Amino acid sequence: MSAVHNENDIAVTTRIRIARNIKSIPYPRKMTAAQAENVIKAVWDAFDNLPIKSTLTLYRMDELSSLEKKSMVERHLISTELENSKVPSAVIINGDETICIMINEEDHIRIQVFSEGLDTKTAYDSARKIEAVLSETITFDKDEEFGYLTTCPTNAGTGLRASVMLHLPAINSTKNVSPLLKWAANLGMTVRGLYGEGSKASGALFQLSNQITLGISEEEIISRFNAAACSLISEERRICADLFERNKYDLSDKCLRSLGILKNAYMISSNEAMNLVSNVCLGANSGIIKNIDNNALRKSLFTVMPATLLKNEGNLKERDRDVKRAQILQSVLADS
Amino acid sequence: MLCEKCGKNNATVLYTQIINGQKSTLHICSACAAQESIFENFGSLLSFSPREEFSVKMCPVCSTTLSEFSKTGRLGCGECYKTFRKNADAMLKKIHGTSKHIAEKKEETPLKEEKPKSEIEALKDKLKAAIEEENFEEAARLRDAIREMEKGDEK
Ligand SMILES: [Zn+2]
Ligand SMILES: [Zn+2]
Repeated sequence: MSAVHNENDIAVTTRIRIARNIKSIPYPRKMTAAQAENVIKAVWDAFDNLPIKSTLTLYRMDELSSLEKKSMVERHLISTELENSKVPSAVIINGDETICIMINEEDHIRIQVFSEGLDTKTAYDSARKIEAVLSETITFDKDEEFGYLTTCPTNAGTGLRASVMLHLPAINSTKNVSPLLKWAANLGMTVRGLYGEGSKASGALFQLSNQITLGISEEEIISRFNAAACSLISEERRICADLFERNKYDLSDKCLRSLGILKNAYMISSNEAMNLVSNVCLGANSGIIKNIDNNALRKSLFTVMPATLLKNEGNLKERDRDVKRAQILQSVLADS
Repeated sequence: MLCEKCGKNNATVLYTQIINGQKSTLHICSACAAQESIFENFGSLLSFSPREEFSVKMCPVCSTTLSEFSKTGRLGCGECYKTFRKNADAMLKKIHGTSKHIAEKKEETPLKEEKPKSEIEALKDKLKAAIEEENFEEAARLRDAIREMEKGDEK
């Protein structure tokens, strides 16, 4: 069992995203194919003669199979918007998939850096460095008053968006997340369920992001975001402890039952996997289940999503996929 | 894009006319839009038919119109922020509470974008540097040169 590091009992991954456009080139929704090719080349060439380039790979969207693209979407590396881009577009990814630069998505450049748990510093420092590298050879579109210009004014100013994927099974089990949404809006943040419709998040995975990108300094954006993330995390812990206090038998039964299924089932669908893992992690966080590595278990979820599973395991039929998924999750459980 | 009427100026107006329910659009420049003759030229053959005309402000670089911006909430290029400045400003204020970006210290304007300094300002910079280096002979020479130039400016 691993110790809590960067709040990773609840925080799964942090993402820092910086949006930029290149001066004097229309944005992706209005650009020509030739202009799009120029943008791809300009971004890729910006890393020339730098040591970092050897760790980076450029994937053109028109050269990836639809399965590979879907798998990147499942792993939150690219957006569905990039997957379905109408102009030539690409993504630059480093070896451990912590850096991921989308080219010609909604904006010309979307620098994304990921870090484990809640850790804005590591991701922000790295994203800033990449932005500095690009700015050596690329002139960004910038307005004296409005700051960096983006296709959607929601990203203008700093172009900086911090997000964290949070696993909130206790809050989710209260079946009432609307106060949460209101609370976030008051702080200039948004919360949304990562899977499932609207406020009903399957797997209890949520994403918290800053909504305001203009009129406050980057430092302030990051510190307000961290404060919001920390209070959400402590709220989850508080409700988790409260659930345990008031409902120890039911909670224990639910979590241990899920662990039993996860350990012994022959077939598991991806939706069931998400909910089982969510319950097991809830059990681990409330002390009902011992010796479980929450983080490893949650990360394994992304390898058993439909497209990623097919990509890694070859052409499996649907039922064989469910069998394989059960086997993978069981081997992760055995290791932790 | 160039004006579809005169072919000379940048098109800044999306000119739409509807004749008998048939919609046609032209990208034209403001000069052409101002000419009344355009209405006659395009409508004369069917001047008896019910006709409507609209002139819409349009981004000269990417042809985004204001209604497109209001509908999608998206802009098409940097020039759009100038073309629809008032609307963009209002939208930024609605989203962020302000439209004044706070620049980072790191975001110094690159040298190439700086306005060329006037001769006199360049001399003043040199003077400062000379004083800092305690090169007083050079400083005195520069100070006199600056005085001469300032006198010239007053004339
Ligand atoms: Zn014209
Ligand atoms: Zn435009």
